[in-house]
Amino acid sequence: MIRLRMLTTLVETILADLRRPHPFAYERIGFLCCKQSSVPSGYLLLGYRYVPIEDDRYLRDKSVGARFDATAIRTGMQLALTEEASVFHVHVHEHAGVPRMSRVDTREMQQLMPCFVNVCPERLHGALVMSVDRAYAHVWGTALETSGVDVSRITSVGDHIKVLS
Amino acid sequence: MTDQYTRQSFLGARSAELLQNATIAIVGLGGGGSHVAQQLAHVGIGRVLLFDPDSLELSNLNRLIGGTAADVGARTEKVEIARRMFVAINPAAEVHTYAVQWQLAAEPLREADVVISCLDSYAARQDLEVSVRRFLTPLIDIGMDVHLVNEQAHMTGQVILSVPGGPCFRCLGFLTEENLRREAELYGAAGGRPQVVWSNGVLASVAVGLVVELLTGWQRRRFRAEYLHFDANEHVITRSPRLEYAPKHCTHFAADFVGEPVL
Repeated sequence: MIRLRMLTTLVETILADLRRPHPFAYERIGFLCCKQSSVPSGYLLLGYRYVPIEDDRYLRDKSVGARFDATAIRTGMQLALTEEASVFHVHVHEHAGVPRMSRVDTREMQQLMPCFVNVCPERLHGALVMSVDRAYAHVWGTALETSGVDVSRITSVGDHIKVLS
Repeated sequence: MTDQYTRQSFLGARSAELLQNATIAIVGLGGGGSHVAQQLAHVGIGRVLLFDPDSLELSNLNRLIGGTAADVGARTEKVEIARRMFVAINPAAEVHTYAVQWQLAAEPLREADVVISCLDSYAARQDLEVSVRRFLTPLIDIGMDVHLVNEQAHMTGQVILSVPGGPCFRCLGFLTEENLRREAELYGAAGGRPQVVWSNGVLASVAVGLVVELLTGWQRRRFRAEYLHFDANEHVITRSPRLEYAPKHCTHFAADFVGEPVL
C-alpha cells in the first residue's frame, strides 16, 4: 500500500499555480517533491516542495494539453538526483471528483518516468492528477511491477484531514 | 451507512467511510488512552495502532477502562486489554498492538492519520511531537495533574492539538525549558502521577471529538491548533489564551523538514 500525505497549504499552492492560464498551453504542469519512508504496509510519501514549470519551458503542441522541453525534464531529474526525492509530475483536470489519468497522460508518463527512475532508482516516482477537490496518483519504481501501481490513499493535512483519493 | 452509525450520521454523508478508513495511533494505554480506545471503537475507527510497554497493575484499576482484577493477576499487557475491548465493540476493526516503547515501533506509527499522546511526561511528549511532525501527522495530547494549593488538591488537565504547519507545543507555551527542567525534579505534588477515572474520561472525550472533527470536518471550522484547559475541580473547560498569541506558523519545525532524519 502506498500513501501520499502533504500539507493542505502545499495542495493550495499547487492548485493556485496549475490553474493559472498559460499564454498558449491548454494546461500547466509542475513537479512535486516527496520524501519516501518505509511503513509496514508499503511506502509513505511526504510531499514537501512544489516546483512549477516556467512559462517559457512549454512547447507548442496541439496533440496534448501541455508539453514541456528537455530543460524542464532535467529540472525534475535534478530534483530526484540531488534531493533524493520521489518526484511527481502534477497537472489538473478541471472538474470535481476523483480524476483519472487519460490515455494521453498514461502514454506520456511511460516516456517520462524512466528519466526519474534512472537517476534515482531507490525512490518511487509518479504522476499526480489533481481535480478541483480530489486527486489520483500512480507511481513507478524498480521495486514495483513495470506498469506501476496506484497510490492507495492521498491525504492533505491542515485544518482537517482531507482524503483526496 | 450501517445501522450502527445512524445516530452519528449528522457528521456527514461520508463520515462512516472516512472514520472506517482512518488509522489512529494511541501512545500510552493507561487511564487516558484506554478511554480514547473505547470511544474510537464506538465511533467506528477502522484501524488503530496501540503502543504501551506496560502490563496492568493493581494501582491502574482505579481508572484503566477494560482492565479487570483477573488482568492484574495475569499481568495482561495494557495494549492487549485495549485490543480486547476494541474488537468487542467493533469486530471488523484492524487492531495492531505494540507492547514496546513507541520509539521501537516507529515505522508503524508513521501510518497513523492522527496520533493521540497519552503520555505522562513533558519530555516524552516532546519526543513524540518531534517525531510525528516529520511525518505530517496531527498530534493530540491529553494529560492531567494534581497540585496541592493550601493543602487542597486541585486537578487540572489539558487537551492540545498540534497540526503540522501550525503552532507546536513550544509555540503554544506548553513545552518550555523551564517545565522540562522542573519535571526532572518533581512531577506533581500530590504523590506519584495522580490520576482519576472521571477527569481522564473528560479529556479523552474531548480528544476523540477532535479526532472526529479532523477526519470528517463536520463543523467546517478552520482551526490550526487547539489548546483547552480543564479545571477538574470546577468541571469547566476553557480555551487557552495562548492560542491567540501563538505564531500563525510554527517557528520550531520547518514545513519542509519531513521524512526520516538524515545525518
